[in-house]
Amino acid sequence: MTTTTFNATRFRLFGYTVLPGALTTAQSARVFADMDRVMETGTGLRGTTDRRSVRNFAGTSQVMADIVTDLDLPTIAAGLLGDEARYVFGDASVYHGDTRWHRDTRLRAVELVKFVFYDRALTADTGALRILPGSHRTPDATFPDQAAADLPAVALPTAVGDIIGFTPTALHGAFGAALRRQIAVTYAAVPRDPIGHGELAQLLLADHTIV
Amino acid sequence: MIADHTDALTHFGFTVLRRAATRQFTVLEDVLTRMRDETAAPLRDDDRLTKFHAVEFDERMTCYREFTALPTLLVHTGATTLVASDINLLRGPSFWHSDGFYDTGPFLRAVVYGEQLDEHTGALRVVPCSHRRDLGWTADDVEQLLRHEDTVGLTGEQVPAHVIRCDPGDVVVFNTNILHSSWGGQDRRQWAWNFAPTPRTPQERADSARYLLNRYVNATVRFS
Repeated sequence: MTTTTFNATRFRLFGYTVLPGALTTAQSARVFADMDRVMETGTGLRGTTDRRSVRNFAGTSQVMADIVTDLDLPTIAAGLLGDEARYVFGDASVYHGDTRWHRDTRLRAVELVKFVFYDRALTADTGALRILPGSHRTPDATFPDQAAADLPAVALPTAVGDIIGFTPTALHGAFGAALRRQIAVTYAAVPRDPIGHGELAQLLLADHTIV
Repeated sequence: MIADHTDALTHFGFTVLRRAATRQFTVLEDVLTRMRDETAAPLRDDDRLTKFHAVEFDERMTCYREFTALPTLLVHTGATTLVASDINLLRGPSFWHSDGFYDTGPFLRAVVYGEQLDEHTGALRVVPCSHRRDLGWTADDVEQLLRHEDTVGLTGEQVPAHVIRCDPGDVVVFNTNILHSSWGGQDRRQWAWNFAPTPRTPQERADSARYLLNRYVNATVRFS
């Protein structure tokens, strides 16, 4: 078994996998500096004081494009999804505080992987992503309203340079009220049927900047 | 309160009744001491000591009826019949397993531990929601998880799971379908009771019989 195979099975089984140290410190510093530059211009900036986002940062930043090429992110996405992958969207966001438990989407026919990385090391208590493992396979399932500590999820502490790849249908959240910057890039497996094509179109046409 | 615990059992497969057995804890310790006194064989390093039929061994084990909230919780879930009880001296890890999988039920296990337990000292770990097929855990998924080192390259303690930290006197209640394990622990004391609903259909009767048999003859049940 290779790391690639392990990652693909983890992704399928638990709904996420972690790529430790995928980015160098220099790459991370460069891309977050570029994010700051874009944010200062205000171009494409959306949001509130709790979360401000630059929509489609991943599709417009040359620094991010270089990183995508260096890492060969589409190939990693294809490895996780088990099929050819296409870029869907990618935002750069500044978070203040919790995100509550949520799923980004409940679509079933289009398979997605969302890569996220942060500008700083995060722990469970300072805003690290938490995921309910396996919850991606039943996106329609509902759970009782839960406080941060009461939902039996797994916290994913990360260091600078780590990338988490998760399926946005998984139930996830972040808690700890810490300031953090996040860059997210989402890929979709090329749909195999009309329902999948319809769902992908729905995703592409929507504004995914949560405000 | 009880509704929250019932919800947690239904959706996640487990819940913890904090301090529910505090008043009965001394009694439980006395029963375990008696068990040790009457068991000649010492524990080996990789061994565990189990006393089956614990309620029959010592009537004081019926004190579960007085645990705060447990009887009400059992009524809410329908698992009101005591079908097994045991006392364990556990040592070392308990690998990932399920105590069998049943679509009927719920089959529940209520457990009191004698020590404060966390991820480093042998606390029970569960894969939330793995007790229900309709929450996405297929037989193939379970089989892959059980072979975690080969399939996902993770050791048992690295498998993504929820660690149920608990104190002496807490009562952990879990659906025995759920994937569970324990890592990092040394000696720990455990008192446990298994409950099942009254079977009404042929399938429920068959599952109840299989469940009862598995408690005693199936090597996959590890009393963690």
